[in-house]
Amino acid sequence: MMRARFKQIATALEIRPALVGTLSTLLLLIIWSIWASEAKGMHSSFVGPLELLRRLYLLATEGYGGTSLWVHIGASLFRTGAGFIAGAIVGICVGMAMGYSSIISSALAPFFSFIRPIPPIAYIPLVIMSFGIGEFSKIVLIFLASFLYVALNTAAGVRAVPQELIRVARSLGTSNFRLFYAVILPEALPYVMLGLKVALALSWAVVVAAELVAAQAGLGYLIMDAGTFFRIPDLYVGILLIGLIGLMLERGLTLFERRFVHWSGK
Amino acid sequence: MADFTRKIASLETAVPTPDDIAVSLDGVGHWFDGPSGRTQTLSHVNVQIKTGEFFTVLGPSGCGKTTLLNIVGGFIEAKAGDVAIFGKPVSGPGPDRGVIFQSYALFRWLSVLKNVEFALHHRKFPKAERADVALQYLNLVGLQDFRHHYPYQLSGGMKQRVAIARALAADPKILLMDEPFAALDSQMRELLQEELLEIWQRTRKTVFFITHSVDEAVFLSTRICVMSANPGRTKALLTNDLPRPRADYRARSTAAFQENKERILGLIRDEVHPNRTWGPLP
Repeated sequence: MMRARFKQIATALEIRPALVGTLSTLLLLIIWSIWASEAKGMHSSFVGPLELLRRLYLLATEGYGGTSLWVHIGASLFRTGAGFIAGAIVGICVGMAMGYSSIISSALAPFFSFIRPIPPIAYIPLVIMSFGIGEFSKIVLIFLASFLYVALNTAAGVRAVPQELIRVARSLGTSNFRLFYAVILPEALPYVMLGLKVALALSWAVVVAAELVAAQAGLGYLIMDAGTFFRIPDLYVGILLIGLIGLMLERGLTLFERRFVHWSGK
Repeated sequence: MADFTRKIASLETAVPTPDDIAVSLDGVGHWFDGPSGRTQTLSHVNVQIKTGEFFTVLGPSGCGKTTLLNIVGGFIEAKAGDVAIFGKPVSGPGPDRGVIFQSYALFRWLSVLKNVEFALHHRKFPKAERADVALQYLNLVGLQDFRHHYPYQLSGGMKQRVAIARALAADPKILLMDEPFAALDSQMRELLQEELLEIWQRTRKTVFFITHSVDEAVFLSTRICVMSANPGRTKALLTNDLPRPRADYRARSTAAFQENKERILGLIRDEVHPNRTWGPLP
């Protein structure tokens, strides 16, 4: 009797992943709140969820370090956007060329294999030395971080275009140029999207790392500064915002994908 | 060098092909060189297909029949012999030969209508008319109500209908079909065979059809080329005298149909195991 009832509940939960996710989040928030109120005064570095919300409101209205919170967020987003878009455009072009020509692919393969295991943050000292601590060096860094994954995925996508699809297009009297932009590019799009998603997540992580090292604004600068001056609640808010904005960027690309690559995988 | 002189020689002695020869294969051979030596896939294939014929190449897998279609389509070059379409040597794929593959090869990011419109591009139709013309071709395969669907929303049979409409929309003189119905279930296959016959009778295209199904070959063709494997060569060229119209399910149960089928099956059977002996197994 009891077991049957449990089984019923388990089945009901299995088909409602969103509900389970919400419940687990709520549970975590409750445990966190209770813990925070119990531990009050013991650890100055421990902040509860309500305190966090209050600080977020304060930061949003009064700003941080004399600068509006939106300027910090905007600075991080601008760097990510500029570097990511540049990296995506160049990455798609280079990837197309690599997918098209096995000679170009073979010529570039050693460099790509060598660069791939290097974490982009390893370039931070180098780009600061070469391009200074201004915006440009951060954009170059994001470009380097995103370019590789977009190029490699695009090349894989072009290579995965079925031969029969190209043959059909050729038999329909399709010119070389049209074959490229009206057949190969759309067919490779699911791969390109995968590369863009990985590249954007990495770009967002790298921009925060770059701002930790050298910046006058941005979310990375905010958490570094808050940590240095023991403004612990602000540090938490910074981390929260980095997580939330990263999530929103990912969701944005997913929406774009659902709109334009809805046919993929079906 | 030898190949070059042979080509020169064939130019000098070339007899002009009559206009009604759609596809001419003269001593066509193909091979590939692997680590264990040369594998001959096609050897001395001589076939002349007349305009308006429904010509079927029938053979077991590995007999080089797909290679033959790729050579006629201009996707690969024959390593020996001459291939001509309406008297002109084949130098690559072109809109005079439409292809239909087993895998449909539809543009999955385009709607059914846009897939067909793609084929109208080279015919220089004004943009405003393309949708209208494409719809007429969809009408031919009975899919006008599915014009806004995407390929992933269609069944296998419907996808192949779209592929046929798209190939016809480019207005080719010859349709090259590589086992187009092999992936469909048997009911859908028979239905599409009937539809294809009706389309062929209406449009009078020359069809170059590849299959491994004797049933399919007998039901559809005017002539059947039975191929043998290793290396692929023409074993027999048969005229299929099954009475028309055949686009009827009852055509398959007639005595003439069974007779033609048995004749071909006999040819193929002594091909597969010509003199097999049964002995005790070790």
